[in-house]
Amino acid sequence: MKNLSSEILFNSLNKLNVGIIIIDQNSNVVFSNDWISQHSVYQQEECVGKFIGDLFEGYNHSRLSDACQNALTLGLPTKLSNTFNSHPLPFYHKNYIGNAEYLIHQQISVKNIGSGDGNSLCEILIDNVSSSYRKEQMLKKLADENKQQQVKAEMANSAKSQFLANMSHEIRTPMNGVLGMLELLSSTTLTKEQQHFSNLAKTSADTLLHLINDILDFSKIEAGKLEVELIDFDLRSHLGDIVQALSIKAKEKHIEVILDDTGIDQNMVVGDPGRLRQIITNLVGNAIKFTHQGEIIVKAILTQTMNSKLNLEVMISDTGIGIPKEKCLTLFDPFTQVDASTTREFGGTGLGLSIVKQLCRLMKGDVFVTSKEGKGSVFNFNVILDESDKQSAMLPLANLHGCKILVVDDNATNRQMINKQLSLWGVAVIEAADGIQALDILESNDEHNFDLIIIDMQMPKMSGDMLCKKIKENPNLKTMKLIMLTSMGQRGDAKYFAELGFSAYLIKPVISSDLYHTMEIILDNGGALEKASPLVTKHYISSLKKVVPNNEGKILLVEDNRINQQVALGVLKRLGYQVEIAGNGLKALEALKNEDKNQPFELIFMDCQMPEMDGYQATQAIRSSSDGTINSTIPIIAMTANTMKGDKEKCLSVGMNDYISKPIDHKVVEYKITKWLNQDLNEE
Amino acid sequence: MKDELSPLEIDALTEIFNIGIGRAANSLNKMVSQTVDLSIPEIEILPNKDARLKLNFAETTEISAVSQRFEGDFKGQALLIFTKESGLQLVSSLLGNKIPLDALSELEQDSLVEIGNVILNACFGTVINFLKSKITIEMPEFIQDQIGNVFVYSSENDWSLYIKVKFALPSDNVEGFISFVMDITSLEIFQESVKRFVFGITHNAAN
Repeated sequence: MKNLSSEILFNSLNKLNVGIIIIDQNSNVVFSNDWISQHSVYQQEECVGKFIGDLFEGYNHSRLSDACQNALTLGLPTKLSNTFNSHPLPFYHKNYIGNAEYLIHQQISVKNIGSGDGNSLCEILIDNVSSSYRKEQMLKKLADENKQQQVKAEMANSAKSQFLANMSHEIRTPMNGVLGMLELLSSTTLTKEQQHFSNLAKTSADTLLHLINDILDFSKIEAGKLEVELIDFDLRSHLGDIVQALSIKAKEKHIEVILDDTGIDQNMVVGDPGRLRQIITNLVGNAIKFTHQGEIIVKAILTQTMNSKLNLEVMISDTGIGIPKEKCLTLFDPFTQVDASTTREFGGTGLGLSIVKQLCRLMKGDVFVTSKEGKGSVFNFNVILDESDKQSAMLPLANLHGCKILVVDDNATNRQMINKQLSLWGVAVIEAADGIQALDILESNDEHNFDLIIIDMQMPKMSGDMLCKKIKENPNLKTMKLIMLTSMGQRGDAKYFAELGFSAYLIKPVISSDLYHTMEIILDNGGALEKASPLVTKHYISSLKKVVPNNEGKILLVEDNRINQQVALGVLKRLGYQVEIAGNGLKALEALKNEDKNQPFELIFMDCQMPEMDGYQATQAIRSSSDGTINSTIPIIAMTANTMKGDKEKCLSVGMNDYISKPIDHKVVEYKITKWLNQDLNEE
Repeated sequence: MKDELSPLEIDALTEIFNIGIGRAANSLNKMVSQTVDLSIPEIEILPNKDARLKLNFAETTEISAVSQRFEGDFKGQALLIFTKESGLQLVSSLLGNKIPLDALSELEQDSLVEIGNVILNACFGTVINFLKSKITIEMPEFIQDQIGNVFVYSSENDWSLYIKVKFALPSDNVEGFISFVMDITSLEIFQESVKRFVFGITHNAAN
């Protein structure tokens, strides 16, 4: 460094390709380099000693002068960017000195460079950023154009989707007309040929409607218009309903659909049951379509998430033709099918799985597939559901014995039927054939005389709703609890009757357990009635938690299929029963022989098709046992996948008491168990 | 750490930084056509690793920062930190861009550096003017990186004078954070000068 003479240092500073101006504390120029004279109207010697504000107009009161003052007094360095100060000082491109159109874009640094004698000096460093500026302007212009194009394209795309959504709606309306008319047509007298044609037309119209629905959903998703609902619903019975509906189709192909809902330990959740049905129907529907033999297992698991939501995971596995590995990745893309030829064989728009994916995503979940060609596929999806506060209500255990109930129905048979049923439960029944008679009875009686009134809707002279109004108008009868029992259910009925003042709404023919529970809820007049919104219905009852009695009986489950074993076991355990499993008829006999005499089996669920000894043989063996080692009169309920005509007869003829069809529905199971375990009670 | 600042002293510090920041707002308003309001809702002195936690950013949060080093009576590094998004928003808003930016161009980066420079200079000016500190300050630098990497520049044992800055723009509000990172010796000297300043004021007021 010492070898560098100050002359060399000076020259290098002077020849630098950036502008340098050094000013003293009075803002007089001490030094300016070559660059300054090359790009301004001044020669080097013209600048030195002059006040910088006199040389460059615009310096005074500028941010540059503030920056210089800060540097001189406080020693603060400043950077002035081109963006906020594009031309603080008049410097020009070399060949256009003095031409205002050729000002240089500058970026300036200002800093204090203390001089040896204790006086501060301030250095102004000027960078020419014109070329960067031009480059960025160009890029910005391109980016803006690009963005505009993109916005345009997005608008066009969403307009297209909007159009599609509108169109699909327009198409659906006449389609419903076509389907309705075909329905009517088929109910008229037709020749065999006409019947065939009308069936074909019906099938084609159904398929078309299905396709249109898919397209409608897809375009709604594309247009961002698809929303999920938040409804309280009973997840377990909903899954049961969905799978039951699908298994009808599967049975035509002799495939079994098994629902394993043992991983769900609560009934009520909040979510979109319609969309959930759509997802499962689509996936199971596909499984049925592509499976020629074997079984389809729908396994559902509900778990709590970290943020107190519920994660529903459903696994649908089939034993179908499978999907090649490389196709699994694109399977959920729209308009994709495993290969074009499958479209011809199996039909479909190729939109179904894409919709499933979108629906899962919409419900904060996702869907995946794993598959082995020729072995089958497993579709795994999950959705996030919310906790429902509806589930806290318990089905009350009210005592109906000794109640007094007024039944208003114009149909004598109906009245007698209800009377008979209610009498079985120890309820006193007064009958009224119409509204006027009912009002007479009510007004001539003490107000507390009746515990509740069951009213039919369709009656001559005075309809059920009219009667309700009359009763509610009477101050003595205002608080009377009413049940609407109608044979004509319509959408929106529940709300209408709730507003009138009914506490419950049931549709004929009513299952006796529903009627019983409804009366229990109303007479209990507690939380379960309060939470019924808008009023007590069949669905509401099924959503309520049942009180599980402590000393339930022991049940023997005879079933060879391990998955079915687990499913049935789960259902029975949840209902509070002790269960023992036997893998076939022989094992069942063994279990019965060795049973604990202090806690004997009270009921058997018997699968029909089993290896070694089937259900029919086992039942015959139990019934014919006379040595007393086996309770030969134990109720036996068949569980069968065959719902062919004559199956029931076959079961009953070998000595079984009842039968249920697979996939088993926990409500049905519960009903049958209650029926057969309380058989003695019913017969009394 | 001995001799922590009293609440009164923290108040005084907040006040003088607010004066400085007010000047910065003035400068910013000169630069751009919009009105910018700056305020300091919070000042705190705490270990640098705690200051980083206070930012409440994930380790991988991309940040834009302007940094100026200083030395003299006390030495360290001043940082004005934005999340990348806030930085973009601020520049967009100040430049009057209609289309939001995806990233800062080189010149736009320089404009963020200038904004940071104005604000940090105001803070330095305050410290020099009010606390009579002798420090020299270096040119501002631009840093864009994940927060985890930015804080690697200072040692685990350093302390931070942590200042939250609110930018109230006509259209929206942006939040930034100033952190004066110093070692423990520098911090003690800094605190000493704050105590002296407050003592001066209360002493004069008492007379």
